Amino acid sequence: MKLPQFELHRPNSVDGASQLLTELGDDASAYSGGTELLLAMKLGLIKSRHLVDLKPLAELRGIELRPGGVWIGAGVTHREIESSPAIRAVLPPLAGMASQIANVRVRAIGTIGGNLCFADPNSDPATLLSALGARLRARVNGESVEFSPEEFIEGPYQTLLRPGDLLLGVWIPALPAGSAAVHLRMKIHERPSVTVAALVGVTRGEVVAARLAVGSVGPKVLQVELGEELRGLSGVGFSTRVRSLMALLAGSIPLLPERPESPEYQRHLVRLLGARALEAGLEGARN
Amino acid sequence: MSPVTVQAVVNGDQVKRSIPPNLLLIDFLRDEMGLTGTKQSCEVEVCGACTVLVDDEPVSSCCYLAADIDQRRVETVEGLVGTPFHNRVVEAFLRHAAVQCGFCTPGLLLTAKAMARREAAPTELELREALAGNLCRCTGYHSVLQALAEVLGSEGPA
Ligand SMILES: Cc1cc2nc3c(=O)[nH]c(=O)nc-3n(C[C@H](O)[C@H](O)[C@H](O)COP(=O)(O)OP(=O)(O)OC[C@H]3O[C@@H](n4cnc5c(N)ncnc54)[C@H](O)[C@@H]3O)c2cc1C
Repeated sequence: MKLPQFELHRPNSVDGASQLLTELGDDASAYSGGTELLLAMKLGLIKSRHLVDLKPLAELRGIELRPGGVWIGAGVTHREIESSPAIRAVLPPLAGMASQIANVRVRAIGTIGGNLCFADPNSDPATLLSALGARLRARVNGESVEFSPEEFIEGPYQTLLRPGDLLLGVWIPALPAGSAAVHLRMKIHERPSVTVAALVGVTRGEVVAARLAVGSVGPKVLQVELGEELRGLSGVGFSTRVRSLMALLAGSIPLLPERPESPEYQRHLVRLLGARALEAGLEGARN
Repeated sequence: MSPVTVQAVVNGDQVKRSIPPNLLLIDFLRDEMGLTGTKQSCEVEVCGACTVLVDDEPVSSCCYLAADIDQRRVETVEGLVGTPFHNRVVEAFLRHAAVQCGFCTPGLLLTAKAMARREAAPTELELREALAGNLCRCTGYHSVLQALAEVLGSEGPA
């Protein structure tokens, strides 16, 4: 397979890239690692006559530990996230999640921004970032605006960005004291079939906060706050309530049609992995 | 299409070319440079047959613009030939029968080379995770893991 013809542009600032993308409109695509874009172009699914290279833009690079959390530029690769000492120290589940994505080659050049902007429903980062309460900072209509992952991703292969808009990076708040985050996934094909992530907080061994995100099965990540339902629980009481909540959630979660996995199997995985993630979250938060 | 100039180091040699922006790295290497050790197979970044190293990182050359090697170092399997690493790998692959048709071998060697540069003695799990993206239809992987574990100085499968 060959690539169709296109012009390659290399602006030297986010402003320049955004301006160029605005002028070229639907004829152009932002181009980062290209692991999705070039593939889709080879297959004739995306027909852009101009690629605007974001890789050289220093503004989109870098992982920064700041008071209260971590900033990750949209142009940071999965590989950089998995091997970042800062992220390994402050948000180990994020490093762990990144190390599970795709294969070493896709991780070496595929970026977190490209993953979120492509909005493939089978995304690991979208699910974990949702559970972590991350904020996505984008340049929209020339202004810098923040969104939750659930707001940013509107549906399969659809974000709220319009031509000229760019994702700048992701702000991830540090884990609150006494809490733990867990990301679990099940993969049969290349991309995950089910992704779940839990954030559980405890005080004196009992749950005070719980959030679950479920992705890859439905058109977009589903985030549910379970703090009310699980507050004050621990041990068997927690497990029993988690099982019944997950049965309910798995039974009602919207699924994408025409998936290789049967709906029964997908619901089964959601129930199982969701319960495991919450259990592991409680366990982690207590230690 | 306006041509793009790339200046890169390919297997230690300085290369300067004017190329169309839509030229894929695999086609640049195979057709322009005659480096046919890089194999084309799945074409969708899954099988690893087209793995080459760009600045020491393994990439799928089937989905990588040749224009992006500008100011970078590229290594293909041809660049490994004659190095001590290559000699040891060849010897171990033959002894463990880790090669049959050989189509996946260049990709495996480059993935292993990148791993060797990064980890002193990778654990078996690290080795498995790094190699998970290189598909082989002949060997069943066990012999490959055994051979590479030996070369990389780690605990291999029993
Ligand atoms: C074989 C394979 C296996 C995979 N497995 C997994 C997996 O297990 N889990 C998982 O989560 N993902 C998986 N992926 C997806 C992978 O994470 C993405 O391919 C990668 O992160 C995309 O990043 P990129 O930089 O290559 O994006 P590109 O291909 O460069 O861009 C993707 C899209 O995003 C747009 N874009 C990129 N950056 C920006 C920006 N800053 N602002 C606005 N728009 C932008 C582009 O215009 C394009 O439409 C897999 C992909 C492959 C090919």
